[in-house]
Amino acid sequence: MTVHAIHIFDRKGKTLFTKRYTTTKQQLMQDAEQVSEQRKLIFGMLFSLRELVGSLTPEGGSPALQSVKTGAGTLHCYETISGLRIALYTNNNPVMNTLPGARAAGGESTSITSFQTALKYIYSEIWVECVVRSPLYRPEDIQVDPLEGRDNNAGRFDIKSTNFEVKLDAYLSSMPWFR
Amino acid sequence: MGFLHLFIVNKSGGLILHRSLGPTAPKIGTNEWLRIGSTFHSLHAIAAEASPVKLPGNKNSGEWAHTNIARVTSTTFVRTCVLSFLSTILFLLPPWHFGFVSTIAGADDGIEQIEGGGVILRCLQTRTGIKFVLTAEPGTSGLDAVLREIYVLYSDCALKDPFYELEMPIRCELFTNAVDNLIDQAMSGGVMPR
Repeated sequence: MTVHAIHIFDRKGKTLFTKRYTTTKQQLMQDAEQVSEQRKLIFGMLFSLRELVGSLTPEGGSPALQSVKTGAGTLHCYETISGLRIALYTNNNPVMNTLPGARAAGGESTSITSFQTALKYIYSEIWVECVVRSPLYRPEDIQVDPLEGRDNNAGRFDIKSTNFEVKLDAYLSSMPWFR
Repeated sequence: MGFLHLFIVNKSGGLILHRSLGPTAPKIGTNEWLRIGSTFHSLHAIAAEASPVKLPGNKNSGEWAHTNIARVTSTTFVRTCVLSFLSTILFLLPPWHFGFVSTIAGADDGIEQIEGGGVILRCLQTRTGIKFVLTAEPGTSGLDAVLREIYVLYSDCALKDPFYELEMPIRCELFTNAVDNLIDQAMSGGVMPR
């Protein structure tokens, strides 16, 4: 398993935090604008997939979206009540693919739980601790993209001023599926 | 544990079949179904685009040209012919004409499985671009085998029906009954993967 990227979006789809852990040849060619377009695509996809999953879920089940597996990788998603979304891109787990039939389904559900737990931990123990509880934190005024809003820079809260990234890196790299 | 819905989307995003497979499946109106079908079709494409990693052969990976050329050019003679032909083509065609090549090459990318809190969705896209989508309650096993069997049934019952038109809604009793039998079989003993 490899972790490729993590994105954190707010309720309206604004990127609050983004980080890549692997880079490919193709990503080196992309400029900042293309990368931000791609993030919008990811948020839009998560938004509509939640609607889709919600309408297909039988009554009584939770309509939350947990993971989307594509041919190349898996997107794990966690959404909080307040609408904050954490999206984590990883490889498809090769161990799960080699397991036949029923055992694959069992193995997959346990590993999904562990991803959900990890994302929940990232939210409750790292995001809330480092960002929300920061004395400088102002919910609507987070500086993310150097591209947007350069002019009124004063008074903006920058996540880089907290130790969120340090703690996140330490937590992710301690996970068995990080590399 | 149990199957919920089966729907089939044709290669242009139109819904050609939808039916519920179990008593717990939520009731969804026909208009809603059409919307779900086309939404899924577009999200399938977006999921492949938005991913930071892409399969070699996906049109935006920038690698398909290399891999395809390398595969074809095993002999020197073929290499000379193909390279001269390709360079002519690449020169003459505007970029959007590469679309048809890359969709064939990148057919395996896109949504394979979605897990939600109360539902698990599995998608099988065929080489011709038809998507078979099966939803089930979490913990249900053998979705992939059932989907492959449904593809076989589609080829056997729908495609061989002389009155069936391609890309049009499937109204075929044989197919409906065969799917029912398959689901019963899957619920009782499981379907052997082909």
